[in-house]
Amino acid sequence: MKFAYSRFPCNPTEPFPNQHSVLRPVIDIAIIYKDQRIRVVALVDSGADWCLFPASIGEQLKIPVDQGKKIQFRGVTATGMAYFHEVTLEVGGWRHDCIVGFSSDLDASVTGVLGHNGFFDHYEVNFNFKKELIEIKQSI
Amino acid sequence: MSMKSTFILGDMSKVLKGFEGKWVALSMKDGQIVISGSGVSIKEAVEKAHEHKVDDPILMKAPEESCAYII
Repeated sequence: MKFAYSRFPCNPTEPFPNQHSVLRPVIDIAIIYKDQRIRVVALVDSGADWCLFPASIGEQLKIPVDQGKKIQFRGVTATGMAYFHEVTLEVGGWRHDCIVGFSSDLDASVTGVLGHNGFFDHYEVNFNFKKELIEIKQSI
Repeated sequence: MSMKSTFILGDMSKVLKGFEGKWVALSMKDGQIVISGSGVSIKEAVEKAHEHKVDDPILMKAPEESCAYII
């Protein structure tokens, strides 16, 4: 399954004065919990250890977010607390069960992050920035 | 085997203009990505999408600032 990189607005900066947008490897997925299903855009992030989503997505799925097992996570510039729950992820028509985190500390930034545990351990992922393509295959 | 076609987001730089920091519900109309609902919460964005007869929107948080990510 091939996904196109998506272009997002970006203000020009001193080192990159002509850059008005950035390409990001985001894909559309669905998160399923019991009889609830929600489609979201998530960043394919090879630097993330787990899959994380804003707590509000968990609440929309009727997940008792705060009752999950918790882990403190650390990004490059921030830290936060995430609560983990078992869900089903749907990626390009494929489905797999995994444990993902939900955090209110993500609510102000990104919609979701697809990391190693829960995503990269299920798929072979190839980034081709020049062709602006992300190719995802099921791992055998 | 994959069963579903993908939803190509493409160039979101114009689509998201004016929605910074909001939840947006995306859908396709005439081959183009459009925002069918938006709000300060997911619930509000979904409800507005449903008002526009979009039952299964794709949700995303529009970035608050137009800046690069280091995650």
